[in-house]
Amino acid sequence: MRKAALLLSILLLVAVAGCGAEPAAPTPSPAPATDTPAPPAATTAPTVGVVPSGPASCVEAPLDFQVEPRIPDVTEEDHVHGPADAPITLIEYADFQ
Amino acid sequence: MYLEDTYGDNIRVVYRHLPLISIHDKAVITAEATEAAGAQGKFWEMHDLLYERQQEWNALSADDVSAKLVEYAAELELDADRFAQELEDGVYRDKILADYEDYQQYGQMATPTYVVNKVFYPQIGLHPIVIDGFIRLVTDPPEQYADGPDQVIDADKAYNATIRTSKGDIVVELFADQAPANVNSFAFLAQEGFYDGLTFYFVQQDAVAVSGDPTNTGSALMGAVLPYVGYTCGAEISPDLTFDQAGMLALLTGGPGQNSSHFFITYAPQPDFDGNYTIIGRIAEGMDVAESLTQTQPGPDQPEPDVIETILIEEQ
Repeated sequence: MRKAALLLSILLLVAVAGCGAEPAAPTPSPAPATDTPAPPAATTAPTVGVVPSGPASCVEAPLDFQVEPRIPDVTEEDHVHGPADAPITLIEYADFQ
Repeated sequence: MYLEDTYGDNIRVVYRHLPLISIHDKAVITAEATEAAGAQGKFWEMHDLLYERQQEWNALSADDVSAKLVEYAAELELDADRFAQELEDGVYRDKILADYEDYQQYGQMATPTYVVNKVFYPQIGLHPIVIDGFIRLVTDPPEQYADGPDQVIDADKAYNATIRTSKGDIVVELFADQAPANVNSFAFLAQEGFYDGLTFYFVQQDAVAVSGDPTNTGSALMGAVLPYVGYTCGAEISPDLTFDQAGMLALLTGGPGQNSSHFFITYAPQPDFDGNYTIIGRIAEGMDVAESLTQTQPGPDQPEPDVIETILIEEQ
């Protein structure tokens, strides 16, 4: 399953890149949670064949993760796997559908 | 589970209900089912079963789901009568909906949403490798160069990069004239030592070898190409440079204008890549070394990936 997913992703990488009418979007993913500045106009992906881009520049794009102090602490009410003193606490907010 | 296998006693995983009631008509009832199972000590068993059988129960109408959930309860050797009664009475519904109200205040209503040590990671996918990448970014953030790369090359001069790996040296002729900003960024990161110790975490014969991810997880391949270095660079596509031969060095990108540290080497012509990935160089020596890199991919029970000891940039 995992292997299939990864192979799929590399194939997607190829497939997406190969789709000439689409910009070189990554595999399906939302925008990163950062205030990434809009890319310079010159960097718009080509639409047909190899369209040269103009000169590029580099812009600030911080790894701007949001800390949310209001996230409730883990309590006995929670469903927990793993030791209480683990340095990493991963909370998954999800439904099953 | 992958994360438990990777982190052992260093991680605890918490599940909280976020039933998207407006678009998921079976989200609340399935959440109730896990609570009812949890009341009999089998929350995680029901949790896992619901993910495993998602296609089966999701195909049913909302009315028919309850009966199927009771079947699952029996399969897990729960007291099915008690389970069915609790579902019918909605014993856990108020608690689940109250939690839902609480979480709305954070404005993060996509599912799944992951939180690592109170840091949010909005919906990015369920793949554990992506989550692993996020955990590493939060717990051991890579260097951020918010001002962008220093100018370390002269676009009028010729440069080589020597990628010193655990298998030997790969010497790459850099195309500073055709991709000046991206070659400069690569050279800058190399000189900063950013690549030292990173792995070729995805190597597939006849395709590509990928590196440049400070988390070494390959979450980039799963679509999570974040600006790990604090800046991104625009594409520099030259019509003179195509993936018409093996041995091209190019940047993996999260989309237009989002080149950062991620790069790959090609093992074969890849015409589908033309125009989509900025080529910054071509292997001049050591293609045999590149081809000897251990075939691997992220995940458990995979061969140990080869390591980049350092990348040296030399003016020619």
